[in-house]
Formats: sequence, C-alpha cells, structure tokens
Amino acid sequence: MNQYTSYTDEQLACQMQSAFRDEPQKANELFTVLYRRHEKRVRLYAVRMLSDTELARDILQETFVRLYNTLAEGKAIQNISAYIIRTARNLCFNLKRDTKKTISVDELEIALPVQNGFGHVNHEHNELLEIIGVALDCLDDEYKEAFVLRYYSQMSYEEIADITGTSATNAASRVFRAKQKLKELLSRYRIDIERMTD
Amino acid sequence: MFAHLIHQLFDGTLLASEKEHLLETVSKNDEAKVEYRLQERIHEAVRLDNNAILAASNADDDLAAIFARVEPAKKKVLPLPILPAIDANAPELSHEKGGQAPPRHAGFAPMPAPHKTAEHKSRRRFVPILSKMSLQALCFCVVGAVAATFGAMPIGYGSARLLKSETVLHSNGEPHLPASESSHAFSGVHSDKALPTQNDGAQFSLHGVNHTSSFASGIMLADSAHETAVSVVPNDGGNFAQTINNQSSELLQTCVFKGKKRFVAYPGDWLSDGATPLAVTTLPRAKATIPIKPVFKPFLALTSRLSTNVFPSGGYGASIGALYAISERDAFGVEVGGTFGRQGFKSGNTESIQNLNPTAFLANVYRFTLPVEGTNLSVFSHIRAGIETTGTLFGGIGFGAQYQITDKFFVFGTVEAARTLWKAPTSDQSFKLAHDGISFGVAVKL
Repeated sequence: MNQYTSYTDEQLACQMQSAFRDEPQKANELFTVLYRRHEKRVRLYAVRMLSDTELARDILQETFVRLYNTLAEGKAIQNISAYIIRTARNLCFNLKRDTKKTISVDELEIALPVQNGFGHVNHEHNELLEIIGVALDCLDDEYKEAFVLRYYSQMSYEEIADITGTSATNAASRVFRAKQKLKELLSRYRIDIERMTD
Repeated sequence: MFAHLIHQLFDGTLLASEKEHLLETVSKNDEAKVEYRLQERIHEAVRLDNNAILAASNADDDLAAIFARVEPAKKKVLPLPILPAIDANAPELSHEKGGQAPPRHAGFAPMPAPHKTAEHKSRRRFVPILSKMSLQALCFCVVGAVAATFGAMPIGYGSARLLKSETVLHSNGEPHLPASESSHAFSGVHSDKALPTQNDGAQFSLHGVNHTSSFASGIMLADSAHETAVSVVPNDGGNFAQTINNQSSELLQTCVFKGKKRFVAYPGDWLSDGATPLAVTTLPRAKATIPIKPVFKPFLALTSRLSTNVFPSGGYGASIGALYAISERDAFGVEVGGTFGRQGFKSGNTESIQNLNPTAFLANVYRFTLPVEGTNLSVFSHIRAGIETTGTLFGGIGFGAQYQITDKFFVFGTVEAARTLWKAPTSDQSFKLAHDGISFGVAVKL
C-alpha cells in the first residue's frame, strides 16, 4: 500500500476507477490510502460540528461510502479533498437541521460534569476539553464552522472560502470573530484553563 | 487593540517583520500580555482537543464498517457469464442449407436471444441468488420479531434489551418511549453463559460478545428507519437485574446506531475502563437527546412604529420607545408618542373633534413572545398601559408578530385595543375605547 502514498488524490481516484472491475483488492487499497489521508480532517470536523463522537462516526462513514460509490460509478471528481469535506459538511448540516440541537450559555457550568467521552486523558485535560467543546457549541454555526475548519481540519482560508461559499477575507474574519467569542466565553474559566494547560 | 495582531500571530498570518515588534510589546504591555496568554490557551486547548478526538477514535473500525457497507454493492457486479462456444466441427445445419431448423439438442449450444446482452443474462442468473438472500433475511426478521415479542431469547455475556417508558437512561427526567414503540432487534451467536432476564423488557441476543476480544456486533433487522441509542453497561457481578436507572452515569456510554449503518461496534470504544459489556439497551434516539434551551441573552432594543386608530376614532400615530427583553419570551418596554390628527366623537352626539388629546405616553407593561419553531418569526401578545397629556389613563392588550431579519434588526406588526381606565377631569374625552388599531414598526437591538 505504501507504493500509493505518493500518489495525488486525483491519481488515486483515477487508478481506483480503473481497478474496480479487474482488481478489486487494489481498488480497496487505493481507497484505504484516500481514507487514511482525509479521515482525520473529516473526523475532527464532524466531531466538533456535531459535538457527538458517535454521530461523527456515522458522518465519517457516510462521507467515505459516498466517495466510494461515486468513484465506483465512474464519476469524475475534480477536487477530492474539497468533495470529501463538502460531503461531510452537507451531512452534518442535514443532521443538525433534523435534530435542531443547541446549548445555552447558562448551562455551560451545568453541562460540564455530565460530559463523557475522552477517557484516555487526565482529568484536568478532560475538563478543559469539555470547556472548549461546550464553548464551541455556543458559537453561531458560521463562526464555529470557520473556526473548526481552520484549527481542527487545518484548512487554509482559501479552502474554507471555497467550501463555505464565501470569500477568503470573510472566512478569516469569521475565524477571528469566533476566537473573540470563545475568548469572551472562556474568560470566566481563565484561571482554570491556565492551570490545566500549564 | 492587540487582539487582532495576536490572533494573526497564532494564526500564522502575521508578517514576519511585525512579529518581533509584537512580541516585544507583549512582554512590556500588561493588556497585550493577558490577550496573548488567553489566545495561547485557546490554541493549546484546541490542540489537546484535536489529540483527544483522534486518540478516542478508531479509524480501522470505521474503515472496516465502510467496506462492510460497500462490499455488498460490489458483489452485485458478477463476472460476465461464460457462454458455451459453438462447436467448430458440428455438422452444417440443415436450415442453413434451406431446410428446417433442427431440434435444440442437435449438437448446438444455446445462444442468447439477439436483444439480450451478456449483462442481461448475468442479471437473470443473479435473481435466484437475490431471492434466496431476501428469503433468508425475511426469515431472520421474522425470528427477530418473534423474539422481540416474547423477549425470551437466551442471552450471553451481552444482550440487547428494549427499555420501557419508566426506564430512563439520562438523569434529566426526560421520559423515553415505551418499548412497544421501538422494534429494533439484534441477532447473532450466543455465549454459553446465560444471565438472568427481566420481564419488563424484551431481550435480544448480541453476537460475538466475549471477554477476551471485547467485541460485540449487532445488525438492526427491524425498523431501521429509526435511530437507536445503544448503551453498554459493564458487568456488575453478573447481575443483569440492575436497571439502567440505577447505574451511575459514568458507567454508561452511548453508542448511536442509525438504522443499518453501523455494522460493527466495539465495547472498548464505549467503555474506557475496559469493563465487559453486559447489556445493550435500545431506545428511540429522538427521546434520548437532552433537550437544551437555545442561547439567549437579555437585550435592549429601540423601537419605532407607525400606527393607525380605527375604532371608534380615526387617526394616525407614531412613537419611539425601548424594549427590554429579560428572557427569550418576556420583555418590558416603554414608548413615547401618540396619535395625531385623531377624530373622536363625543358621547351622545356625532360631533367630530379634531386633534383630540393627540399625545400619549405608552408602556408595554408586559410582552410575551412565542418563537415559531424553525423560522425567524415570533408571535407575541402584550399588555399595554398609558397616560394621555390630559392625565387620562388607559390600558389594553395587543397581539402581534415580529420577524427577525438579522441578528440585530426585526420588524413587527400589532393589532391592539385599549380602554379608558380613568378619565381626567380636564379631558373632554368621554368614550371608553382609545388607542385601538394596528401598527407597524421596526426594532434594533443594542
């Protein structure tokens, strides 16, 4: 499989499409390379946008199943990376629209003790992650998404602009505003956060 | 004032030439230092969060599940059927010589009809396989449904159990749907160790659960359109009779199945302490979601509106005011303004009076707003009171709707009626109704 890691996304997709009929094993290996390359970005995006690890796993699976099926149907994809994150984004938004879940600032303190999910980190870090998670949930979707795409999915402003359908300047502005808002929300936890990150 | 520059510094978009100057400022200026420190912490928290999410994930499982979902689709593509070749040594056909066509067994391989392609043929051959699979799936579903009905299938180390309405997973008091409203089932291989069962819920086996690999998987057979939350309870001395209610929250972690999407689940994913899963509980996901209030902050808004009086006097008015919302639904406000050019009628005669007590001071004593779910529209009712320049007091009610155009700006319209509560001696106004009509306005949140 290592031989394919130097391929570009488009090369992998092209090879995969030609391998579907005669070399299914090779197609799966190529797909695995694509998956390994983009899985983290999609997972981080989905987990933070949905604030639910299991729902995020569903989104991750659905995104890659769609990618697989699209390639299996022989359809051409211009930009695999953008296609994947855009698919994940649409799925997340559909899910959010269907579930309509929001969280109140007032419940920030109440919500902290009942959060679970990161059993492998120590208690203080766990608490810190819950704080940042709940604070992110309090942001408006457009700001939250820009922040998540920038700092979780590690995307450039141009890529964010392409995916969210806005300008790069606007994307940068949203990220800045998101951070300002986070700062405002987290200011009351400043001392705790400093203790946790020290 | 340093926020943006420090943001750019952490964002990696600050010009190199500005970087040193900024760091120097941060070291000297307390305000900049605080800002720098806070932003640094946010980035550190995000970095830790990133690591935690990735550490808690199991990419291989998800990849396996993806392949599990796409593999069946791939299997539908069957190899092209190998058609029997025509025997080159076969004797020449009599009909080719102008005679009658021979019977089919006279040394000829069967050929597909001219309009049928090889793909058609392969599909035709695939139909019995599909039918067989469907039959098996149907049998499987029937068995599952029967098991769900009687709730008496033998269980192993793991079992799935439908909750009844009184069994609550979350501690927020939100009731769940009764078991009869959920009809999910699991199936598979059972362990040889049976556990006690309960009569208050149907139980289903969950295959592949064992101590050594901590592996569990289940396939939703029925009602896959609904989402189901599956919780794993660690082994508590083999006492399955413990209800979910009695488990402390840290023992429960929820894994969400959506229809048939998730084929494989590992309890290790759910249980950080490595405890052996004992029970899997299904409940309708919609009811399991903790209801959370939308974000709301008290706000002050400036309002401005135009109104018209329709009964019993005609006229028009304008007012400006302020509205203070203390919750998403409750608000208080004041307005200054009134009706101008109003025509009124004295009691007992029909004489028209122009500009009768034209101004008034109004107060929205209380306003109750009800957002229309899923839209920017809200409807509201309000209780109003006011005093006219003559000293006459009036009060009334109004109903209206407002539409939020942006976060800061909304428009509204009302229908309102008021009644004179106390007539000042100096007032020549004698009719009971006052300031009733319709109005339209705009409000800007401060």
